[in-house]
Amino acid sequence: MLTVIWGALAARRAQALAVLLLAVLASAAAAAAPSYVAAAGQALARYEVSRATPNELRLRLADPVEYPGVPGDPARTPFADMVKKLTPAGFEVVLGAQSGGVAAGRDGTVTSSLVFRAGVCERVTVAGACPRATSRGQLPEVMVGTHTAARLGVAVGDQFTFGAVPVRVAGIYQPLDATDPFWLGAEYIRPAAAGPTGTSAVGSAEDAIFTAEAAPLTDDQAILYRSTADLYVTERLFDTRSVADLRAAVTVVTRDGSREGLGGGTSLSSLLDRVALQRGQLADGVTLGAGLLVLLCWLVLFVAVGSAADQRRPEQGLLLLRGVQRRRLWALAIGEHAIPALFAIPLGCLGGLTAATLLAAHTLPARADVTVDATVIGFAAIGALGALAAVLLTQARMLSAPVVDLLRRVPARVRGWRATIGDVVAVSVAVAAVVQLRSGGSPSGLALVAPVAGALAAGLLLARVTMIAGGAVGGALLARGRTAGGLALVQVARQPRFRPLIALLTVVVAMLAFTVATSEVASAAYRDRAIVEVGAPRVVEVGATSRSHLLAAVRAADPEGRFAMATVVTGSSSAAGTPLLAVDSDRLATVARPHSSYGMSLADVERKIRPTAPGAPVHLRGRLLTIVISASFDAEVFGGNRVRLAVTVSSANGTRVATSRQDIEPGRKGYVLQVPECAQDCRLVKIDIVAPVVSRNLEVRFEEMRTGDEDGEHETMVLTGAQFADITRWRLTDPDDTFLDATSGTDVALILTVPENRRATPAGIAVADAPFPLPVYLTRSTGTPLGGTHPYDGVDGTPTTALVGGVADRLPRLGGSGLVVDLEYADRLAVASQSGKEEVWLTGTAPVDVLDRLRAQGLVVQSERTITGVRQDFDRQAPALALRFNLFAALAGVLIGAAGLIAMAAAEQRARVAMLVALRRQGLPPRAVRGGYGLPAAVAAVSGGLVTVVIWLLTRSGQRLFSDGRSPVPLPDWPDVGRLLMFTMPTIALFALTAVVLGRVVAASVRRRSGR
Amino acid sequence: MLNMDGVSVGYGDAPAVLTDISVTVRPGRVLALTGSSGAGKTTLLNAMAGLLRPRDGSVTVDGRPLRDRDHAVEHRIVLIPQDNGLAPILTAAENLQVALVAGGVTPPEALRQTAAMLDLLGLAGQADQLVEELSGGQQQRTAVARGLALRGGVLLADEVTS
Amino acid sequence: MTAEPHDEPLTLARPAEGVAVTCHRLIHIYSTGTGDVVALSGVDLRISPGEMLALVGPSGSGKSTLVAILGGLMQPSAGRVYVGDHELSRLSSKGLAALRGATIGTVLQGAERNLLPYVSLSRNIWLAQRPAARLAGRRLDPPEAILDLVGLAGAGSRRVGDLTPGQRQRAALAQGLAAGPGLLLVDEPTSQLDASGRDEVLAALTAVNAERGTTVVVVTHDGEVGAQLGRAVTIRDGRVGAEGRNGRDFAVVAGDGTIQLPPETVATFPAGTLFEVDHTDQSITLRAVATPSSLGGDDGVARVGGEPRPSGS
Repeated sequence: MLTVIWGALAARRAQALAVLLLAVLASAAAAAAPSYVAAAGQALARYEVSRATPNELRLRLADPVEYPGVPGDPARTPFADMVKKLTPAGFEVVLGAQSGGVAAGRDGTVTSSLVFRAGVCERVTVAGACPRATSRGQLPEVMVGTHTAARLGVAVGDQFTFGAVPVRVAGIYQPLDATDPFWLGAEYIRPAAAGPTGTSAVGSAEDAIFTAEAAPLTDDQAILYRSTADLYVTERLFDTRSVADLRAAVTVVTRDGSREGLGGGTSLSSLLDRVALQRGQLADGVTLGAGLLVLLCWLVLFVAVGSAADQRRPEQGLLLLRGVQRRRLWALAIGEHAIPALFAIPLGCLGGLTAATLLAAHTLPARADVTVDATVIGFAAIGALGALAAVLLTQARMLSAPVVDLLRRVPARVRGWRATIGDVVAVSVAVAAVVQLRSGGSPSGLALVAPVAGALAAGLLLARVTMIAGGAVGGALLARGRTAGGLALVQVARQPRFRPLIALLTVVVAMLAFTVATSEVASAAYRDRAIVEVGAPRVVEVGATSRSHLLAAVRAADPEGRFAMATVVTGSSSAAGTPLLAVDSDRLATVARPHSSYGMSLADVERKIRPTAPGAPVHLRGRLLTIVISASFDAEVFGGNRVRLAVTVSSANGTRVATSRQDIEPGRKGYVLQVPECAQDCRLVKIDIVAPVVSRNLEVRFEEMRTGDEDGEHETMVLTGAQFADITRWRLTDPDDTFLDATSGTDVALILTVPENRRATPAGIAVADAPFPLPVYLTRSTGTPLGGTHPYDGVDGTPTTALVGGVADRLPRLGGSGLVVDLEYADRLAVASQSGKEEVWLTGTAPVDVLDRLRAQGLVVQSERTITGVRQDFDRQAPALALRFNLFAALAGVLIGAAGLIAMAAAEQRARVAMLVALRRQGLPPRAVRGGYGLPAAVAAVSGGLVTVVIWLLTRSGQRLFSDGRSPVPLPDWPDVGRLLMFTMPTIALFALTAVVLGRVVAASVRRRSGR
Repeated sequence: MLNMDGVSVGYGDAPAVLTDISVTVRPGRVLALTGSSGAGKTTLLNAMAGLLRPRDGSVTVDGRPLRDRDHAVEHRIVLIPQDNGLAPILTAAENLQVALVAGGVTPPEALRQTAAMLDLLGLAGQADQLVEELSGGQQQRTAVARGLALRGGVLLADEVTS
Repeated sequence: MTAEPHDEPLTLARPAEGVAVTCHRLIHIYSTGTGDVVALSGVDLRISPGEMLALVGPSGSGKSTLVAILGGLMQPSAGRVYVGDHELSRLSSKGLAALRGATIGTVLQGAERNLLPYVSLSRNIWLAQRPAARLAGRRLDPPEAILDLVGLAGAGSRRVGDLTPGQRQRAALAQGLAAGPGLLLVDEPTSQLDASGRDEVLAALTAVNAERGTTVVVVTHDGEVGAQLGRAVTIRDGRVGAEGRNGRDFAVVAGDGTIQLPPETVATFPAGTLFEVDHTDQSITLRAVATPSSLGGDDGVARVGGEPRPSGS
């Protein structure tokens, strides 16, 4: 038997080689996907690790027992042994010990912690020296941060006490890189506080004080410390172990740790979850490209080998004639084809790995290795075995045909149900896939390859139409005497084997267009989302002492308003509330980036949210504030219910309520309030009469307001009676239940009347230095129409109402839901301090030193985001990586399609040339000799276009573009046609060129055989 | 009138199959060529049809030397090859139609002549069947129908009754 | 055919001689793309064991179909056919395959079609013997012996492409004989050969028949072959029309009592012609009475006994 198989292989060398090459192609295609997924998975893990917060990178175990003495190296303690036992392989352990307490120096004290942490000396620069171990009799050595040294008033070599234990300063340290996970974020290096003048040194006075080993102290109880161990994950760990493994390891450590009584905590699971999610999305996304590649390879094999399969017909018939059992025939067929297929597996592995390596090098953000593992080999085997199955499928019809059919010189045409079964299967699969995809939720399984399935089904159907139409048109042309055209059409349309080839080319064109279109839409979507989510080219998150500090600092750094804008962003405390964006509005149009999805122009917003103020602010300067009030109410009726005076002032340090010590009594009196923050300058927000129970009408006259210093110096009149009496200056905080009036003449004053009632909120008057209700621009999603009022949480977190001055589809930074107000007006209306994130929005043209300018104004720069950076982040996530793979697969598919066309032509060559030579001998003119391959190429172009539109409409909603699946900006419906054509035109040109060359080859061959 | 004068002809570099053959084909006559297999009957017909260039001697048509098959077609020398020379992917009628149109007949006239000739040879029912689906005998008759339909001056028929 | 097809138990002993072949009212109809074709319309044929027979007939007469049925390649639509003791219409396809492997050998038209070109002649014969080799009690000749039988001794290691046309045809014969069949069907073995080649082939066939007693049926259109084989059966329009034995031609009565008119008389007496019939014990005389103006069928079948057929039916 083997002799026969060997003889057959030798006789049909060319076909065996074709099968080998195409099986290698299929195998490589199948192997490339898992290799790429593995490599990209590594890159994704690295990317997530680089973006993770310090708490997500480590798991902490803490000793429950406290030990006396200066914190030292726990390496030889039972705690360390237990940690070593619990630590899973690959985790890096950093041991430490710490103790909290008060450090007292010459110039001041600070609450800090005394810390031993292994490896700290390598991560700092020290003025002086790192602390060394000391023995009995010597003072323990420590090193302190720059700010701590300044606060305590110590230098290198000085002493201070920690928890009443004297220690010696061996060195003053500065961390080399405060963002290193070693520092665990803010645990050891506290973030700096904003202040009137800034500094560039990292850290604050509360930074940790580091020690080395010290001898036991005389007083056992002076310092008690607790040992800690931080177990860090590393990038290498993600390379070598799966996420499920790591999750299990973390669970085990946490469980065993708590069983041993070790406390601790971690956010490691959220990092692991993110990595697992990204990897899962990558694998899902890549399924489309991998499925396409493998399908194309199998189709090409089916097409290429189909013609050559007929060579085996006579042999089959002969063997059946001799009574050889069909079992043996199958064995011979499988044997002949399995040998190339088996050889294809290792070659395919190599090919796939090479392709994946090249692709990974070009597309992955981080370096990643491509290696062989069981999955890759398994997939390569599937690819090769599928190829084998495709070849056997071409033979299947033959292997089960009756003997008589096989012995006929020309094979009978397949009729009836057998001819359409392939179509039926393809259409059913496609329908199932599309339905599954459109039924919503995260696509999985068949739904992931819905575009390919749809393209194949549509391609087969259109190919069938082509064959029928081509046959009809060709026949008509021949009858009409147009021999050249008719022959060209009929050669293809009446050869059933061209149908899968046409379908193949259609799928290639359609999937190329589809993947290009998806990539295009993704690019646009990333750009749009980055613009809307960030808001301005650069957004710097800062710390300021107050909103007015922020405003003033940014205005000082950029007086002309050309490149910087102060912004406060708040979320909303209740789920139904509206997020808020407060901006320094005259810079909005200059700094924020416009976008068509906003549905409004930034210039309009500027105008609407900053109308002219109804009045000027009231400024105060002085540490004491005196308000002269004449109150008239029946003290007896009031009984014990107090009436008090409170004033809200806003300074550079925030907004605060100051209450006068004395209660308000009937009669005229001056009430004094302590406002130390107004020493420099502050602004009056409102004056409240705080009377929870108003037993009977209460009338308060405001007659005078003065500021001054403690020692009575610098008395300044802020508001006279007449100024008080200007009602336009004031706004009632409770306009429904309290009344405002003014008198004139000699006792000119402002009269506030509070009717009897129980009051939950104080009655008072606010300075009308900002319009109320504040005009805002609102998103359509809130439902409040233009001109209506909308309740929201103000920039200080207190609920208030706004007047809708404009409606937008979307707002910068907030997306589809939110409202934008003017920051200065909002600050003037605010009655409480900080709430929300403070940001400075910058244009791309901001000067290089802009951050230093901001720091010079006392702002603390915390972090920075750019539109470009966010957009690049989207490009690094799993969906983008998968899209790139799919694009590569579609491009490779183009080559496979061309190979299929060539293989088909090679198989048809002999028969075609013979036929044309015979016709030439009967008088056919030479110019009528055509290859006829133009028809498949032309049909592929047209069908491909149609099919692209169909699958685009049906399946594009199921393509994942973002890792979190959301975008505040609607995705473009259609891609940029120009870019689309840029990819598809060369493909069609390639097919056309191939067709032309193949036609020339046929014509040349015919010429040679016809002697002319 | 077709003349062969001292013609020697062979295939490629192989030794000559025919040596020093002279034949005169007179108008209106039927010439039967017999011989055992391998004797060179097909070779002689191919040379007459212009498919083979003679190594020695000349083949002339109406006094002019025969250049190649296309030249022979112009001079209306029709050949019915031994293997029928049909295009399997065309129907019987299309095989005739293509040849007739190539010979200069107008398409509608060619359709008429095709139908008539196929009917004459008893292939009226097979006219629209692909040649590859016809039986051996039917294919042979189609080839003969084509040869006759071309109404050539000389009809060369190679083993048409076997 | 009323019985279900089944596998014949494979207890085929090596036949010491050829098998008899009997066809009884064999009918075969098959469909093409454009309708049904009646290939055989009632064939009755008897072949004795060890007989040599030529099967002649024009193309389209149904002789290829008959050979295919006799060769066990397909089941007839109706009628019965016996090869040896086996009734072919009651066999399943597996049974037919077994029969083809052990009892019936077919040599296809075109010598090269009978051999795998990429293995040697001996290997070809070996492969053809595989099905029969599994049968209990079956003795197979070694390939060299079979090649010797057809006059190709010593050519076992050569491939078919290296042989002359006459040698190729004999190699094809050897393939058909590989399993020692009782019936050998040979399709057009001499059409591509010259006189000497033809003689070689006929000599080989005669040798096989003489030495093994194999029943030999040769499909041919060469009259010489028919004459040499002794008996020639003519198939026309799907039925046996005439026979020739030792140079003499006879018309044959079919199973349903019909006779075919000699072909040369069909034009003179077209379908619908009325004959007066006179018969004696030894002969039947037909006198044409009326010739119809329009033609019905053209097979010229005349009824022997019974009413004349009305025209146009």
